[in-house]
Amino acid sequence: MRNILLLILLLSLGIILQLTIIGRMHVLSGNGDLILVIVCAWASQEKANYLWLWGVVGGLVMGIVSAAPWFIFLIVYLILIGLSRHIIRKIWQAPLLAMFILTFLGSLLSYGLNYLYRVLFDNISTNASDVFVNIILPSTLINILLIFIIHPLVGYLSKFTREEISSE
Amino acid sequence: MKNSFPRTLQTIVIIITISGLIALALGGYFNPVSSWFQRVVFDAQTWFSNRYLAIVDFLTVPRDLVSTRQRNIELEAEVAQLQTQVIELQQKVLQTEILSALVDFARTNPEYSYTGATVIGRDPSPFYRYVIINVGSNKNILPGMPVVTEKGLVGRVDAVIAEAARVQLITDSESEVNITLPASNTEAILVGSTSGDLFLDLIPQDAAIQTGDVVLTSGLGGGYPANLIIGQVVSLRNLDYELFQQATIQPSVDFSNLQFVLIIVDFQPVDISPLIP
Repeated sequence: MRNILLLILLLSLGIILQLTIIGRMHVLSGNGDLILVIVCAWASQEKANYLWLWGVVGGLVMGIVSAAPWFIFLIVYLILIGLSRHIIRKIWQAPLLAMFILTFLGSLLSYGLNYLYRVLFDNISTNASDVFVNIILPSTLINILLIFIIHPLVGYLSKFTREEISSE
Repeated sequence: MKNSFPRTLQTIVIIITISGLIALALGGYFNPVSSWFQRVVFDAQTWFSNRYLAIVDFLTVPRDLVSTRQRNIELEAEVAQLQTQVIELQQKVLQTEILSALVDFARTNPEYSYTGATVIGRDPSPFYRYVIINVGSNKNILPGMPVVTEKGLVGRVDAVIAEAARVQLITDSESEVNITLPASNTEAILVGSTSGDLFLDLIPQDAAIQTGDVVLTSGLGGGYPANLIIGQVVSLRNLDYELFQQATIQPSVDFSNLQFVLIIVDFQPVDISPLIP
């Protein structure tokens, strides 16, 4: 039950902050994806529960508020959830490093798919190298910077849901 | 008799002596002595007074210092609070100026009806140039309605829910606006880009366009009302081997700082897609 409440609370707050604050923070033409960082933070916790639910809800929430196709975010977040288990097994005892890798890969995947969709289905014509330099890389950088805020917060909340705080 | 005479004599002598002393004093003969006496007395009084004041200061200064520090803290808190109020009031003044400009725009363009809205968010994806406004179907907002500010065209309503709507900006890479350049009597297409820049495409090669030319909506296609300001031509690209010229536009609206917008509610966009072969 606590996991569900935490999911609702964190993703609701995250989407509000994403639309009002993160969406207005630009580096070149890129901006961050707070929901992706939150999902990666939760997935990088060693004993996190309801991982798939976080991926599905996060993807659907982003798909609803964004003009981008809803399935892109859903696919990206579910892939990240699947990758997280493999990465955690390979990089054990280092959740922060796992989160860095997940966020980096997730950012490239998310923005890459968005760009491909626009090129293939919306028929926009643009220089791929310009997009990579001006949008994808700066957006990835913002996501990595957000790790330093989100990771400790989610880590603390994760322990809270597992009732470890009361035993400390 | 013998005892009363010396006593009487003593009394007379004393009276005479005192009278003489008074007379001498009044005559000023005792001035040096009185001056010396006063100086000694006053010096002693000054010494005692200074020591007393020093002791009083020593005992009372700590209390004054504490109260002064306390008052200083109170005043600093009051200053901080007043500074916060000043900032809030400055923000309100700025918002009032923006809203006033929008009201003036609505009054000077009475041919349409407008609904005001606040921009409350931006699209999370950097590839989509959309903003979210705080009015929706509850205020009779429909998809396709043009969105403007007093400075010019902003975009078009793309999606609507009860309490909010999503607006596609003209800087979005999928946005296309039919425009006209009155200075050269030329019509072209305004397109956005992934970087948010605005370009004119399909400009005829023989069009005499110059930098600084104003760009307005033409009304063609039925997507936007005519004669809405978009911006100015900044640069041109005219290559002989290309079919059309291209130009870069500086928009009149600051899309990075959108706060309040107007939605034209009585303009019905025309869907001409069935007419396109």
